[in-house]
Amino acid sequence: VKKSSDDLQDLGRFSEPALLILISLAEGPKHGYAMTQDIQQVSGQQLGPGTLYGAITRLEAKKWIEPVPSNDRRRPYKLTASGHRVLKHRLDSIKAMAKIATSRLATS
Amino acid sequence: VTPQSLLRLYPRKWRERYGEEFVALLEQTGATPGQVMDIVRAAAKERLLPATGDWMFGWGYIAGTLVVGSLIALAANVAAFAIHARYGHLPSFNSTFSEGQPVVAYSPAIVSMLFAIGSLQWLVMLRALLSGGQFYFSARWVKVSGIEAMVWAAVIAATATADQLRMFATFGDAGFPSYSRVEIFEFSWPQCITLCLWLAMSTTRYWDAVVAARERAKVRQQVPIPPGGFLGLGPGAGA
Repeated sequence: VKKSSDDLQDLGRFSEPALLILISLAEGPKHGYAMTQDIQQVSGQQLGPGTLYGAITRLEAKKWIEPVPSNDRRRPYKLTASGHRVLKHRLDSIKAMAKIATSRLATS
Repeated sequence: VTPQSLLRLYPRKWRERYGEEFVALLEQTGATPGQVMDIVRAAAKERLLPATGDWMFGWGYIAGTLVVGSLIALAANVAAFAIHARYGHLPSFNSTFSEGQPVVAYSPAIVSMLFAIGSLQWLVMLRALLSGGQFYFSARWVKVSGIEAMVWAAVIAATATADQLRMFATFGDAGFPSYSRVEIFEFSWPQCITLCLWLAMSTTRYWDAVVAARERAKVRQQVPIPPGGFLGLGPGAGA
């Protein structure tokens, strides 16, 4: 089964952190530290620096996020159009799964 | 542990691109033991599976695989000979036939070649494990499995015992081995360990492949596929 190259699951261990980063950047450009703070507030998860930058590296390689020019050493990142699309579809699939799970819970 | 020392764990290209901002982040967050472990793990993955570049053919990747793979292969051989020395004859590195002793290698050149090929295979297998199942059931996976099988077979051949080599050398004269020669096919300890490793790793990979395939099948059954697929790139997109 050939998978689409535009799939968050392609990022392996980094797919969940990558999703959290995309959700964080959906609000607007952020640097690494701001992302970890936001992700902790939103999801309760504390991403380690290695995991955070592992996911950022892969997201940038996929061109789903891109750096914003800045004089600060802490480089901010923003969502690209394709990153926006990937996030939207990933959320749609999660919603579809949640809908099925909810209906199954209701009938069990 | 300083941020700069942690940064050195990463490959040079990664450091050049992300080093400054990564250090800035570490200066802000500090480095707890848990974070250090997280960085060590992520840096190891970055060395094995760089997110950018043609990792399979990069010199850095090949050099890394040779070093790591050689260390693993060396450890496996040391263990094999430790067990062999405990339970059987003394191991010998001679390339000449000597009664009752295993011929470990034909020549240093062949050993080096086996280490090199074997090292790459070890790292390809590590990559397969680290990639969380994406590698399975692809044409490349099948090719890798085939090459791996040849490498393991080569390792077994390289650790052939004197009796086994003599049997092959006289195969044409003696014809098919008689029942009295069955003992010739007994494996030496290095060969037993090689076979066990081969069996264990192959079984694990095939088992993982089956589990991953079942999981994918379950997801396909449970989640209705929207027009154009989940990413909106397939047939019916925009419908």
